[in-house]
Amino acid sequence: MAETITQAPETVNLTIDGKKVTVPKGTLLITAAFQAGADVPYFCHHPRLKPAGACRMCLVRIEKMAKLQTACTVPVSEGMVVDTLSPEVKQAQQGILEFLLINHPLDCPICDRGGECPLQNMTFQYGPGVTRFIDEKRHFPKPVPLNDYVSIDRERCIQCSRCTRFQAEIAGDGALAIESRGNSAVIAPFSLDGFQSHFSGNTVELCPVGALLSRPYRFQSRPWEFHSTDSVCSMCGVGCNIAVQTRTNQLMRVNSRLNEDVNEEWTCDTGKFEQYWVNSEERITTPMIRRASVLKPCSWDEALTAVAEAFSSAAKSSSNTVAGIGSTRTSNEEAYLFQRIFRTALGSNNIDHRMHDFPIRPMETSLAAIGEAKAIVAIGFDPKQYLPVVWLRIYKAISNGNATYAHVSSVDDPAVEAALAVGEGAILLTDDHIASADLDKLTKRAKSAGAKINVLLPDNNSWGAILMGVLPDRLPSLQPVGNGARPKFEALWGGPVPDKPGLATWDILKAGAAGDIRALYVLGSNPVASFPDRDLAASALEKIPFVVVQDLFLSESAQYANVFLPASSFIEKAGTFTNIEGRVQPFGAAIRPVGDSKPDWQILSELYARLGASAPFFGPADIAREIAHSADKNTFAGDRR
Amino acid sequence: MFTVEAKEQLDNIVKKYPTKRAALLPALWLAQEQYDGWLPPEALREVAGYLEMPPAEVEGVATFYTMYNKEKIGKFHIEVCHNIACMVRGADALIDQIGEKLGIGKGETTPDGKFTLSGAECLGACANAPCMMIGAKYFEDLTPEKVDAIVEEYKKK
Ligand code: SF4
Ligand code: SF4
Ligand code: FES
Repeated sequence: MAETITQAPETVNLTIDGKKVTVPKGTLLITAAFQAGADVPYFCHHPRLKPAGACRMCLVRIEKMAKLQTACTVPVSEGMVVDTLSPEVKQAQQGILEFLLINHPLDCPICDRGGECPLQNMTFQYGPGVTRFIDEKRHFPKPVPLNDYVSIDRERCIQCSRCTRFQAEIAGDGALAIESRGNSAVIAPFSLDGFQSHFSGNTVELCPVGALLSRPYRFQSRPWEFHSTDSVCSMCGVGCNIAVQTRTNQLMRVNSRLNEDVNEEWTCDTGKFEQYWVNSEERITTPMIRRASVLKPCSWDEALTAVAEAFSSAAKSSSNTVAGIGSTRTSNEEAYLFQRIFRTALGSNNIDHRMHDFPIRPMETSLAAIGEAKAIVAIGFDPKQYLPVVWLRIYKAISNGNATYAHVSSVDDPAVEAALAVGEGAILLTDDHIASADLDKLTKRAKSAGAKINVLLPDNNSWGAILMGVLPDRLPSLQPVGNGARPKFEALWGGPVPDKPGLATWDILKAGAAGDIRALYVLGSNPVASFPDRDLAASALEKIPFVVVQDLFLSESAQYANVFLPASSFIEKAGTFTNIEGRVQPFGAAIRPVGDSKPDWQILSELYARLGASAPFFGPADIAREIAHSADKNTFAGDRR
Repeated sequence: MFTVEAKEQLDNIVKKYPTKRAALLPALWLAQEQYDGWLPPEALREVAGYLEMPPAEVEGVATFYTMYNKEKIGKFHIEVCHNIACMVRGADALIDQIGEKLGIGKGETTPDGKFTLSGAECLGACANAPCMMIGAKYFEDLTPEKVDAIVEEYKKK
């Protein structure tokens, strides 16, 4: 007889509620049930967390098994016959809910989770309808702040352990645990520390009840009252996908939005809780012009006319006397328009956005690939502080793949050598403060070892500013101003583009301090506070006869402004940001511009018209179309996997 | 802070287990000895650091078990069993008697910090009920007279 080789089946066939399904081996029964269209209720189950079997809500009948089983902990097996609908299962679901509600305060009318609460929904759908519990429920002080952002209402907790598992398995800090036991069990951080984590806000979204609460959002809105707009976080270069939730033209809450390639379904606490500046009372929302040495409110027309006149008369005398310092936070469309105005209407390449020189180098791997690395070294920066969600990928590599990880200060650290010895699968992370010489050295070593280097830029649109050409020597798509791409842009923009590189930020400031700049445009940046040599920045802005600052707040640099143009925040406009990976991500306008503020693109477009643009841009989409038309799609390809 | 000897002891405990965290219960026990019979948060942090575990998790475990004391206790911890066998043999009266003598109730500590009085779950000496422990020492077949004498003796220590 011929030898038969029976291969272990990759898939498993089972029957759920009479329906046959085939799923990969190792799938949890609850996942298979969803695939079969069965509606198994659950609380503690979460596809990104390890099974816990903590809440018992997902009980189902599996044929040949003595008792009901928790579908979230049982892996499927061949020929399994499962029932999720029988009266027995129904009764179990009711029983579990009755138990869960014994100690639940049912204060839905004043609970922030009301209206989007899994416990509320499950109770409506599967609950017993009436309670037989007439005794005193357990009581706790409520709510108790656990850190600046999150508080806990322990009466509402159903001990599902999603929060503790998230902190241990995803954030990697184990900052929450279940304390005490039985009826006294509570969720708590370590008593001396409080809830110390960069990712605590995710537990608010994971909590299936209103136990973990956002402190800034508390009592601000009900979920059915706000409007949710797809957006992108403005706080760092990762570009986490977020939902901006707004009501009465104000930001209420930031939730995360799924993007498997970027943030999966997480954000850091900065993203979730530190974007309320958009609501700040301190925002300047009317244009201002300096009269008798004081900034006084004025009309947009007056402000823009003053800017247009100052810049065109300076440029007429010499295009070397105008300069612009852009930002790593404005959208791609705005960055593009900014440099186009300087290059065409003012004939100057004196534009930059950098506060210091750094190597411009695309990431060599994707963000997701970091989660699969075998060895990771962060050199010269702490990812947790600086680009927090990158840390979640690093921790994924550590916890799933047993990757080694070190965070070191120098390229010569032995940990770098150790990672390079791993060869392929080693990823070195560094930031824009690495010296070019160090990076070159590192690159050679990495190349021969087969390792990858990712230079991570800090801000939400650092790459946008670079790729849109807010650089003195580069046109969009990193094309050198002197080379063959210039005629293409001249044709597109309808006029000559200077072919000599302009001044970099540091040279602009030096020239300014020396009295060689007559008009300076500060767009969304703040050199007086963020340029390393603050004194130079301050004396330059002091000396330059005409300074226009376009921003949301009266920044340190705005103290020197002759004209202040109030810009709108990112939630008041649409556009795109380019993240650390070079991924272009769109964000929508969630609210109307606050006060008389205007989106940067609109301010620039109106100014452009006053400087003689033949056709204005009517919206970010107009600009985006031109960018798409002119962009070199290979700029960012690098040797990306 | 752990003494040098205690650290050595801890090293030896850890060696018995496949992972560091598996040594948590004996490590906490040792810490309780090092910290005058109870586990202040600093002790939990020290254990957590040693076993490379999040301190929140260590605190979670320490609060799960009643025999780890989370509050400062007296020099002598009197634990009188109040489970069924001892109870029917008069444990409650003994607890009251000791309490009166020391001027404290169940779960309290004398102002001089010398005695803490607790009711304990089964101490495993039901055959010789009623029984109690002071520190690690057992006292069985208790009578009001015996208890009086024992407490008097400890008062002198
Ligand atoms: S606080 Fe919320 S997430 Fe954490 S265990 Fe309680 S119910 Fe679950
Ligand atoms: S990691 Fe960066 S992009 Fe993501 S939420 Fe935090 S600040 Fe925002
Ligand atoms: S969802 Fe299965 S036990 Fe909680």
